[in-house]
Amino acid sequence: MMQKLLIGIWLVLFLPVSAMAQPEEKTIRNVMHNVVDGFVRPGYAAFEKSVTSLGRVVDDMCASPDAQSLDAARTAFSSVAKSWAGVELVRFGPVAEENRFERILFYPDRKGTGLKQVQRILATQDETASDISKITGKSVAVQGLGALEFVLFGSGSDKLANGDGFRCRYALAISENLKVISAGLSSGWSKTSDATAIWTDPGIDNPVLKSPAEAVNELLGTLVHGLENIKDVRIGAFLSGEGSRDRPKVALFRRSENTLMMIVENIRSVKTLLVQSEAKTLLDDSTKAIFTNVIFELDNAERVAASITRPVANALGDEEMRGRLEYVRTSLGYAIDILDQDFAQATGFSSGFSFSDGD
Amino acid sequence: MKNATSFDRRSFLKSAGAGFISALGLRSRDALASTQMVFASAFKSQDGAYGVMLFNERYDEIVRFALPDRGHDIAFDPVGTRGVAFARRPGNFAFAFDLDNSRQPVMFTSPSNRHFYGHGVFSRDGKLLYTAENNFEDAVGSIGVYDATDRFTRVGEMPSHGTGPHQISFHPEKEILIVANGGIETHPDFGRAKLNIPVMKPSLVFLDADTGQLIEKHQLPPELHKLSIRHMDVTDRGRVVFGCQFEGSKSEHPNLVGECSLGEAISLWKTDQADLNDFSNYAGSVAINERENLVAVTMPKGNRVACFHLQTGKLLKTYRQRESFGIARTASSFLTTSVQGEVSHLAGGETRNFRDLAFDNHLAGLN
Repeated sequence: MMQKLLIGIWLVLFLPVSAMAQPEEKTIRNVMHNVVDGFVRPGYAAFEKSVTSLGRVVDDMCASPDAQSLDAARTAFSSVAKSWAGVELVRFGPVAEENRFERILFYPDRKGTGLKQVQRILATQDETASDISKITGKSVAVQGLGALEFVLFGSGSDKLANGDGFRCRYALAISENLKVISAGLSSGWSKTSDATAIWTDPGIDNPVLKSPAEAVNELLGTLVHGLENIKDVRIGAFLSGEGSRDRPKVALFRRSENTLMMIVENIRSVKTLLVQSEAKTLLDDSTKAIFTNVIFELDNAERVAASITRPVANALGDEEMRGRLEYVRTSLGYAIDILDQDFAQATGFSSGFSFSDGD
Repeated sequence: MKNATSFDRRSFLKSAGAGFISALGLRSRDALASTQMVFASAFKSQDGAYGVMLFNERYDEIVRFALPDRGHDIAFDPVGTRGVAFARRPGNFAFAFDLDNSRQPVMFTSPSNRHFYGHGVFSRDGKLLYTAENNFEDAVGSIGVYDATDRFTRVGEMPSHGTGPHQISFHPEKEILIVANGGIETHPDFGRAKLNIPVMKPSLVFLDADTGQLIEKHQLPPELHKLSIRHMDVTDRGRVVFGCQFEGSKSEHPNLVGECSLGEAISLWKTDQADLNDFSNYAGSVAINERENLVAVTMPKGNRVACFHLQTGKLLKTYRQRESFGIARTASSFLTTSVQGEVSHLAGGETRNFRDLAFDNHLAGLN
């Protein structure tokens, strides 16, 4: 089976772009509708729901602080993180406006600048950070999930169980801020919104997607950049390359031990987008094996990532577990190549997505 | 800490093989002998290999050199016969070659705690080469200085006075470097990810080429802080025309081309919104043809090449060209190169398609 797949892809690689059968406009429009209806809207709806729940739980914790309410807040945080991992590969539309994307999650914080800002807020009990009307004007690093993770799981967070008033108010302000942002994302993608019109109706009068070909390239870009983000930013942050050391302390959500969960959910989200959008219909019968092949690689990456049940620091210290992380990174690299080169060329619209990525 | 993309010169020479150092063939020598202008572009070939190709104004191929990884721009020595191809970020190699292949090419690298940004420029006397580099641990831009008379030994460094320096040029009348600081922070630990979009601060900088001292730093209004100033060309009197790439919402389409001169304020050229919508927020390469009073800017994401009046900044005409990234001036017009392997004169006429190649982002020309 694999041999047949590889032969198919080999043929694709050496056919000129113009020789590829381009999908019909109707097919592309259908795919773009599916992107919005089957992925973007459900993804943001799930995020908004989890954020709303978080707000209630944090409010309860502030009103009745104890170990149980703190535990509930921490669980709610993990649910929000998971729902965000399911839709964060969307980088177009309302999330790209008003720095919403970075305000929800600013990562990587390479020099720890954001962390220092959060620690300063806690140390000085800066009440402007616990005020929902003022927190939006602060650094993106102190008003989203990265900050909330430290507040709920970082040093001193256990005091929340005993009624750390300021820390709890800050957690509540972040939760409320996320609620406002998530509501903006949901309304920004309503059926009558500009974003929906732009992303489902490519054509000459569209201010962003001026042709069906541009729509296909945008979808491919979302998939490729989403995978690059998992491989280079999320995994690459802590898993070193040749000649350098691992960096477990910079792993996303290491305090809440959600690092691997995020990676697994991110991989699933790419698969979900591919499947829900029916991106397979962009390929003709001679190249449909490309779709099977990319799903195969993503399945492998997801399965192996999910099998790493230890916290990142422990996994990196175990040769076998570390090997699994390397495997995930390699599989994601293959998936990127397939989408970037084979899929892009097979649609007949591009000689390779990344090559046209510019600089 | 991870080093910039590692490259070992010895392994490259070994892998490149005999073809890399062989003398030019008869046809190549003929092409070079009858040439008025030489053009160079980095490319990716159909088999996935990278290189740089030289050709003349009649599209006759002169020579191809292999590169170990993806290249970006090529700088020509203004008084000699050498060119240097630079790695695309976050690569760390540069490849210097003689146009007549009379000397063996030289491969050199940035230090392990720097990487190239794909661009560089020779000093007016051709003795020094300045390169745009990333001091990624400190998240600031650097200008590397290399001795072109001594196998491109690194002899110094100066700050770019910004983040993410991209194209750099030499002032035609003064010992001044002009640097387009794109404003975007990257780090090789995170691939090509952009790390500071909410707070990016692009700038156009004039600095003393000898001391590195800042002479002038120009920034666009705060509301345009996501407009990354990346590429430029310079007139014979030192007037800079630059092109930008917008990192904000895809639904917004700001002006992408502007100008700046030493002692004068930076400004953007106002273009009709309908045209800006067609440019897809991405200006690729900029080329000035002073004789024709024209500036041509590739807009490859919008599949356009825009032609502006050099004096007024008015958009005169847009040409539909698919994924044309590279542009260089000719005597009477411009030449473009595309991802599809096409080389075309903007004013019309014959197009040649190098079907086995995808041309990279820039086309360099040498009179």
